[in-house]
Amino acid sequence: MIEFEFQIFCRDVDTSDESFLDRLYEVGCDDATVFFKDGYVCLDFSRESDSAESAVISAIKDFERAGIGGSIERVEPEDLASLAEIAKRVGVTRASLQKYARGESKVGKDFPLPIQNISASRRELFSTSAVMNWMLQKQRASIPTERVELFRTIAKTNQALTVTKAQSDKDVIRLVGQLTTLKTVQRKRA
Amino acid sequence: MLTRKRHPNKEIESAIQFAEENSWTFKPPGKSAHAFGILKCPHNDRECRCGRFCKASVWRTPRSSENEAGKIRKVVENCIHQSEQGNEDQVEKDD
Repeated sequence: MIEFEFQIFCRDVDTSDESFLDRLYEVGCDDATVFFKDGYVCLDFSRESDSAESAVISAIKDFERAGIGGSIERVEPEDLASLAEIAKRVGVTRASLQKYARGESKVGKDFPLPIQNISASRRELFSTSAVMNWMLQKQRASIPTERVELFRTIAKTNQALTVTKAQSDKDVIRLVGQLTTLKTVQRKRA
Repeated sequence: MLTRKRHPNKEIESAIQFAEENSWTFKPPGKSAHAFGILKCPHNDRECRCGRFCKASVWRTPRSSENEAGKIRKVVENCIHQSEQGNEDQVEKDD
């Protein structure tokens, strides 16, 4: 069994009194510290499980079983992050990671490309799991594989949450209908 | 001095005291039987981590006391006002 640390963020929970806490405790969320305010609830888990996926999914299902209403927004720590944040997560300096990202290191110029660029702040965001895999492949860091797996799982789970929620969004359904047959839109890799 | 009950677990009690030393207030658990109490940040600031961590529930018997204590300490340390205070302390020391 491996311990996975992650947070589940929810909104629109009735937090007017503290009884929702007992419901969470009774379905097995006693491995989460609960933060809450004005209907927002954050469950900070340290969950033991065989895999990151079973840890995250069982936690989401526990929240559902608690029957306290609300809606799950996302799971954190988000895979998408700045280089500075990823450096912290990997345990290397920001400067060394920047060197790799700019291709200024001998280990290779194939550092994962940024996924997103917030233009106003000129801040590039990278996939933590992709950077971790690259560092492992280049033998530039020792990271437990389950940690990489956790970031990958969180990224996929958040995508799944978005897709699931989008199924009840008429505008999204209409746009998917227009885009789905386009070859240039379909994803190349899994 | 202590006006509340002590948490039966030493590690968690020490984490609660750490929060109180940083001006967090302790409130009884209200309608919850499994919570030992609720810790509230004095700043209660929306700007701080989107206001999501200003109020923390502390379990009476969490699955792991060590994890529960660690998370309480972490949330106090990560408050944006905490680091401001930390910086001020630093400046005072430098002077």
